[in-house]
Amino acid sequence: MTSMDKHVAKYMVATGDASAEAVSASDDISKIVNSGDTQANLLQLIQSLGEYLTNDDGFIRAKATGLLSHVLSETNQSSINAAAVDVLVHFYCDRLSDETCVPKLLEGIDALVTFDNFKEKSAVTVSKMLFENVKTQSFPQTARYRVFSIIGSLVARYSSALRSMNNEFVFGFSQAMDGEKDPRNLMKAFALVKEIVVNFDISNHVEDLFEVTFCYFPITFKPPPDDPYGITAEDLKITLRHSLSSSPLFAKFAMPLLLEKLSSSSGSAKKDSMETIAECAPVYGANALLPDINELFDALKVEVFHATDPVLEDTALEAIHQVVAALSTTISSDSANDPAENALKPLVVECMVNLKDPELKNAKPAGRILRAAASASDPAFNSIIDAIMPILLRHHRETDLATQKKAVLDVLLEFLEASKTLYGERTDAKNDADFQTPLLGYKDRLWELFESATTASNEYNGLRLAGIKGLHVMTLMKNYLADNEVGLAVRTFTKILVDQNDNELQVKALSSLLSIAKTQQQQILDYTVPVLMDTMPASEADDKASAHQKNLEYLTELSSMPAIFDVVGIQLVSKFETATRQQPEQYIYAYEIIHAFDTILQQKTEKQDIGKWVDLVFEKLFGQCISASLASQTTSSILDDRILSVIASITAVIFQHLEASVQSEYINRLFDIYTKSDLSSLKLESDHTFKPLDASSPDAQKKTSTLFAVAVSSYSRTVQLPIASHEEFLDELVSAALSSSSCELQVIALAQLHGAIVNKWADDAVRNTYVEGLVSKLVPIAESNHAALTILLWTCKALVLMAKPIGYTITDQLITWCASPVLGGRTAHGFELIVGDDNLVLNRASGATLNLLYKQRFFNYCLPKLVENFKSSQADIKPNYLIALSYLLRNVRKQVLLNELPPLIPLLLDSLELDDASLKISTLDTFRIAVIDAPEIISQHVRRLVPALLQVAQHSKQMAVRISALTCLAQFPVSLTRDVLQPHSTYAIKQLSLCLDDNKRLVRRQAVDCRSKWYGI
Amino acid sequence: MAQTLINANPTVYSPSKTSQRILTFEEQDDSFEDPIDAQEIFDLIRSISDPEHPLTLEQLNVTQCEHITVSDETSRVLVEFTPTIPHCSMATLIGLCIRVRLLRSLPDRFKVDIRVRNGTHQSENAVNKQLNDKERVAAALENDHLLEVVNQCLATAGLRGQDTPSP
Repeated sequence: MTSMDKHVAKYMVATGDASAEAVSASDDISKIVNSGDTQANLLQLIQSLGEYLTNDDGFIRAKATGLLSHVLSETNQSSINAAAVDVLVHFYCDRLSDETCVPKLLEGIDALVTFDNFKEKSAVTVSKMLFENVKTQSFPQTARYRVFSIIGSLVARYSSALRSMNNEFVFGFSQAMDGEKDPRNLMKAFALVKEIVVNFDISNHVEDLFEVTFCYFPITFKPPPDDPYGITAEDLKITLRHSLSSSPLFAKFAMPLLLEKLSSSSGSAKKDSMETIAECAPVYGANALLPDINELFDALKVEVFHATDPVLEDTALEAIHQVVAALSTTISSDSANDPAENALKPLVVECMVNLKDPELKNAKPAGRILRAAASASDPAFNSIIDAIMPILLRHHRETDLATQKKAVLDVLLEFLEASKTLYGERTDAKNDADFQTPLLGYKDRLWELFESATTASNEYNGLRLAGIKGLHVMTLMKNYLADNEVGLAVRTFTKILVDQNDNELQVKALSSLLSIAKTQQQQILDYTVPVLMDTMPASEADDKASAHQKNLEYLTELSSMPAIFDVVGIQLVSKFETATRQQPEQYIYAYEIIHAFDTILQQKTEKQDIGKWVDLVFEKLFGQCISASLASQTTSSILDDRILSVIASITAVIFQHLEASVQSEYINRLFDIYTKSDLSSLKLESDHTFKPLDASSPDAQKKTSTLFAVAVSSYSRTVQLPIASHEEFLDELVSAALSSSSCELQVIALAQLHGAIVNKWADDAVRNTYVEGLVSKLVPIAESNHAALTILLWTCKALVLMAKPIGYTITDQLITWCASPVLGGRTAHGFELIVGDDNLVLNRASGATLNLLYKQRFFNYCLPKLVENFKSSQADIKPNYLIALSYLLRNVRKQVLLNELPPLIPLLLDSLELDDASLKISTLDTFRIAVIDAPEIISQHVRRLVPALLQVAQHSKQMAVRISALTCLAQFPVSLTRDVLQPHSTYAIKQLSLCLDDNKRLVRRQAVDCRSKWYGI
Repeated sequence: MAQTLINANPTVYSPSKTSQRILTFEEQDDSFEDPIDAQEIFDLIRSISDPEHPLTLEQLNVTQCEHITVSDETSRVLVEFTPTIPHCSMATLIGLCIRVRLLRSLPDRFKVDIRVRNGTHQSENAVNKQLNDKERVAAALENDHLLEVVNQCLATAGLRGQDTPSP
């Protein structure tokens, strides 16, 4: 007995073919076969199997066949020669009449047909035997799947050989597919239909093939709840649709049936039919569509006119579009009797009737239908325009009512859009001079209509809006407006921006300008930018109706184009300078200008676009700040805290985007200025010395430390800071901060810079020693010196970012301090600083070292300690822990939050009773998120939560809190199940009625929305 | 389908944007009190869907802000609405929708009258009587089918004249 015999015997005595023993035996056999001479080994296997393969018991035969098939599917197929494959094929095919074995045999054949040495002749044999002997649909799903898989492989590789049995093959396949029900098999079968249509001549069996395919239409499949195969109804629909649209031969059978399904009452069947028609129309062609065309258009038209659902309407319009496009492909010698044009006529006539009264409901859908049809082809466009334009223009002429004029313009707009779709946009590269829109003939007239609409002296915005839209589309159309005409449109839009006070018009005009800017930047630079700049006042005092705010908004939007920003940026900075100097006591106007500049920079993503502003910012903004700080009296508003913080934000984004060498150069200059009082790089001269880090300097100088801190904090690790040693410089910063009692801004700036350097310090051990020293120095003085806590907080943040143990040591100190009567409040709020994201320093953009999961680690570290301290502390201390906790909750990822939530719920409920509004809002927000994402947790607490939230909604002093509570309550009916809420709904609805009488309108509004959700339970 | 509609092709009015309430400083300040006014009532009912068309009562000009009278001190509201056509059999249903919306959205202290505008409907009196009879309204809402229709019409009411729900 050979080893092969042993394995085979082992396999045969094992239970079934999926038990552990059977699988291990068959794997062993596969390994043996694949080691050495595969073909010889295979022969040996077949010899060993011999008696089983011919056994009288069908199950033993099947099992043995299964083993062989399995081995074949795993075998190293290229080493089996043609003769052997041929023998195997015959062996397998001859036995196909043995029903018990068929599933196993199919598995083997499925493997064989993929073999390199499987020959064309065998392909024909396999197909013949398969169709002759196997009644596919009488076998289980897996076996049927094998059949389709075999056919698939055969069609893919041997279609030319199989064409010798063309009709037999097509018929055989349609028989095999007939009655298939499993979605997995159908996906395969539908795809095969298309393959077969492409590769074979189906003309003799069109009807057979069509019938076995179309019977599945429309698909009403619902995947089982756990959806093990991941096949959706949509997948099936799309594959089926591809097979129906695979051949024009299907047209004569498909069209009547599709029409019939169009009138179906089921929305999904209708949609499917329309989508199928849209896909089939180009393939079936005009001749197939023409017989039923009127009926078809009628059905589609109804869908648009009586649309209940915008999706269905769009689908119907797409179908109309495709059908008209298909009709137009017929070539007709006689244009008067062009069948396509005749077919279109009734549709156009009906739309014309509806357009007679453009204000009625049906006018809009009529316009849409015409747009769908007109955009399909040049002849359709021409014939529709010829028919409709005169009517519309006459209408417009004859009416004086703004609403009617607007309705006409809306329809005209549809044509402009259609023309844009069909004849191309300005940006299209292809230039086809012959293919021109017939609307060219109406250009002047249309221009006049839309342009006069924009200036209509009427309260009615709709008309003006239509005017803007019209001009806009005209600027986008290819070969339509000349450049100077586009310029006129730009002027019109700009005028609306500046003159009109209506937001809707302005938004539309701005978006039009933005899209023009993409192709015609110069027009915007020549006209829009100067107008917007000029209409901004020099200072706030000259400002009428605060026009500047809008102008700044527009400039911000337009500056998304780099070339426009290049011009706008410089002008904004110089406007800002003027504004700060003209009115030193007023900061708002200057603030808004510089804020706009900041906003634009923050929106940029290109390194180049941002970095290049460093010169301007350094020279102008830094220079201004420092010279103002040196002046003996206030000459500029630039040192206002709010303006300074914007400049800091600009500094941060620019320094973060500098090349290392440029960054190093500027940082060196800043060190000269701030530590050596050397102002030469700014070309400033002053009687006073600039010594911002000196305790005796005036606050004005100290404040400017922000700029230094933010710029230097962004240093890239490759840049060498001009300092003697880390320790020394950090000590300097600390002592400057500790002695700067009067200027909070400076303390924070220095603490930030200190933190950033600690964070980027490469030498871990030295840093540890330094920080330990720092902590032992600062902790004792924290109660007496304000700055000590600030420095510790930022140091702690720097270390927590890297998840360093020493950071957690400081955290322990902070948690203890939460209970201190002096430091408690500040420390608790300090948690926001540690775990929140700062937008200037110690963030990813500024190059800080940060551990991906630092927030989560910090959260996990602090949570138990905070909860424990909360439980054991006095009532007047408790709020501090809740505040610290709320900052943690706000900043941790949702998933982590939800995991930790259940034990926290009682705490959170307690915090709703405290007076701190921001704490309450944060807690309410946590609850809201929990209701959405962890309804099962919240469900257990509904009994306590609902009354507590209602209490807050009714009795909180601040409206923001009441609104938050109502928003949270409104989420309950959306996310929780009915059986959970039902017992509470009467109570909730009754209590909510008190909120309806709130004295604040915004709260009432939220209460109404919330209550109507509870009514919906 | 088309034949069964009472008014298949009504005139569509585009809502005027000027009728949107602009958020004022006072409204955002805790120390001011905002009385309930006509605009607020209009906002509550303008986006109720018409039972026949996927259009709102505002788009069909059934409700207008000018036809709402409110007195916050005496807790009274009068809403007058205009059916699209004088023989509109949907008038009662529309009125019922408005009634239910206000029942659910106004404090209990208000007495709400809902009427068809003078001379805009054939059986004005009958409709008005039905709409302002507490018991008949209550009885109507006992009817599950009717309640479902009303709830469907009210589903869009929260839009308050906007195209999309505000956050």
